[in-house]
Amino acid sequence: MQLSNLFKLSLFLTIIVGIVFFLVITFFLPPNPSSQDSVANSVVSVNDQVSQITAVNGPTKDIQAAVFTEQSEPLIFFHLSIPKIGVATAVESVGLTPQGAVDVPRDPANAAWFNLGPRPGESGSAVITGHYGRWKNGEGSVFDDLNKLSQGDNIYIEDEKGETTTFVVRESRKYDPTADAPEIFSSSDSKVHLNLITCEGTWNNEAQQYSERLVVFADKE
Amino acid sequence: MIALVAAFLFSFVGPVTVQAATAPDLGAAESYAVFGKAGVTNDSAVGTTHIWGNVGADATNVTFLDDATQVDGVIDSGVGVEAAILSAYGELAGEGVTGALDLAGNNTVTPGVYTVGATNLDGTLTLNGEGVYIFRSSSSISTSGPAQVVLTNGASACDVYWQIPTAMTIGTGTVMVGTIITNTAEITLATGASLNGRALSRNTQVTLDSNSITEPVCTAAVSGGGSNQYTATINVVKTVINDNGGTKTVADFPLFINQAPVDSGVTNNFYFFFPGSYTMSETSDPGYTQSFSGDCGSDGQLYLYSNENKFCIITNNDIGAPVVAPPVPPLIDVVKVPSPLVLPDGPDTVNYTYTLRNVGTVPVTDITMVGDTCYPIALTSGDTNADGKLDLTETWVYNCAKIISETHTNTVVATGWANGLSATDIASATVVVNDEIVPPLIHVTKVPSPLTLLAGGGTVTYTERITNPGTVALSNVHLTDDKCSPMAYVSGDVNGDSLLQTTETWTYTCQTNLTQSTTNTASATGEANGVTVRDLALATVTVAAAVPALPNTGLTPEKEVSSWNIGLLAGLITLASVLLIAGLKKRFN
Repeated sequence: MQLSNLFKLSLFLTIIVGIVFFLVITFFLPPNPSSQDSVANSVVSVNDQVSQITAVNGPTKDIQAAVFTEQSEPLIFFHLSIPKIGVATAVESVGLTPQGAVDVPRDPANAAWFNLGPRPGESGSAVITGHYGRWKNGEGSVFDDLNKLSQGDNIYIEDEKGETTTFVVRESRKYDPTADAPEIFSSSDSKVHLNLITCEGTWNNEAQQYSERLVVFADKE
Repeated sequence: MIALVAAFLFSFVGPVTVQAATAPDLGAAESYAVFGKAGVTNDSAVGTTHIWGNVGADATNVTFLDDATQVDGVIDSGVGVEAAILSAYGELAGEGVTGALDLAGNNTVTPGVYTVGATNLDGTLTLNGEGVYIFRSSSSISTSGPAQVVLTNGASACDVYWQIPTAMTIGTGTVMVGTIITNTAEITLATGASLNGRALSRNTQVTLDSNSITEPVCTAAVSGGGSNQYTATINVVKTVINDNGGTKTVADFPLFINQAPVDSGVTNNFYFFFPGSYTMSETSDPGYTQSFSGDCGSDGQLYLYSNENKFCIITNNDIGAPVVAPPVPPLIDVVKVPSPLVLPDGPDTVNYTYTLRNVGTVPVTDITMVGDTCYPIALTSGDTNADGKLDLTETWVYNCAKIISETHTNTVVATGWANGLSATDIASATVVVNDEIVPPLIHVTKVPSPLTLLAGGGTVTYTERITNPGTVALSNVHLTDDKCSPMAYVSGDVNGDSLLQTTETWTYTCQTNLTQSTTNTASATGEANGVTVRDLALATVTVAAAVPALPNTGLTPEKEVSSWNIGLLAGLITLASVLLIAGLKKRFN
């Protein structure tokens, strides 16, 4: 009889533990948007100012620059608004991945400003990236509808002082993921540009990425 | 005449010896690297001898020397050269002797007049220190084995003379220095021997064989001098950009003016009697590109007029694997103010105050201040956190005091480092002695925006501010930049009188497109009381060479399913546990 009670107790505890485990796994697991993003975000802390940067196809080099995305809470510098596709989101600040690629927002609902280039509104080509694709519970990403933008559509950037700069879409282009495309990051016309980047095409499970990149080129109004 | 002035100079500033040596007047022979009255013969028919300078001889007796590819000057009969050589030979013979010297073995000597007898130089003869060296033989001299003459601590090939009554035979591979004058016999350079100097055979011939002969063009770096004897100065300043993994520093690039070695940031005084072209060069490194700015043309040459103080900036940029993230260059600003500016009653002490600021975005380390008149330049305040770095919020103040005895413009060159790049700024100031004229001061600061550009480059805006740290207003203020124009005036002439008052800051801007890392130099000039002053400002902008890879912004489509899979797995584990417990209970019951 005592043994029977012991088994009853064990059975009860096991069921409780199982239910708790199930609930935790199902409801409290933080959204982990993408295996690629995990790699991108597992970078050197910005507190360690002297970091290693890997040159593209080249050796490493010591350099003092806060170019990596920090692991702490993302810094929000701007707010991005694109009324036509219903985007109204915070813009994080990101740098390069250790592989020399432009980093991506930590939060799929956010966009990210590439902080090695000019700030949006400054002379030159500012770059903002955003995720594409379905994530937790089927929710969409910030730039899912970027391909619906067309020439003449407005993009608004509000900086930390509350000042808004308006950009007008000039064109959209598709790129191979490995493209060497300086025109996205630099310009020599002394004007103010904003270029938005996201993914497009079909998912390649082996490469863990989509087959194309979509870049929307916009100019200050 | 130059030699006469040199002799005059060295009588004041030469080394302390029993008999101070003075340079002879080479006269018409000065512009000749090689002269052989009876002829100049290159024994090697393959013609690998190269002579940087003129060749003088009876034109019919110059053999196997090509005046297009081997002689970097003219080949002519050398009118008046023989007489000039004889005169110089006599001057050398007449100087008082410092001591005797056996050239065999290794020897180190200071400036002076040495009798060397009929000896054989077979080791290293080190000439240590600035001044004139005369080696006088009673017979012939030869060299052999690994013989070489080494110049140290300011010794110059310009100031070395060999006076030889008979023959000079320079052995295979010898590295020889100085102006060699033989009276009655020939000068022979064996295979591969080199000479940094002149080979002047008054009465016979010069025989060559695959040699390198470089005629020195004389500079004299005279410390602490006044302006009367020196008519112009050149300061060669080295900047280094390591934005592709390079590690070289300023010291890795030996600098030369007309092939005479000079130090970065040190003012070189020139005495001459007609304006001339000067060539800056360096021992280059195959891992670095080289570019000139400041007063130098792109070929490293500048034209020097009397009473000019010119600056030549040589920038080396490393060649390496393309880097995506350009390093942020440092940017510093130095102001020099003498007090007093004028000494109407003659020589007196002048206190120089140097103010150094960080006008960039990154802390600057390894700060050096090189002055040409006052020493030591001592840091008196500013490094508030005592970390040895010129932080963005810090202003470092240096002081130096010196008795100034004549009207003089002197210079300080400040250098610092960050992220593998050097930053340099230059400040000059004039002090007037024995006159009532108050000299003006001018100062320019240059700040580029942005300091870095991604691959492909882009537009950079330079904002340049001119101030007047002196006591008198400046007129005819002009600002130029060697790699950006036009320099547009924005604001600052508050009272609209076109004079830069001591309270005013005049602001200019200039835009340019850069596609590669660039160091440029701004030059601001102004006048007051008949004195023209100038200040320079240097700034580097780095441009990356590799384009960033495009971001991977796609989310894994299966991600939402995988969470459910984990939940499902947990449920199955729970179910299995229930079944297992139930089975056990049944069994024990």
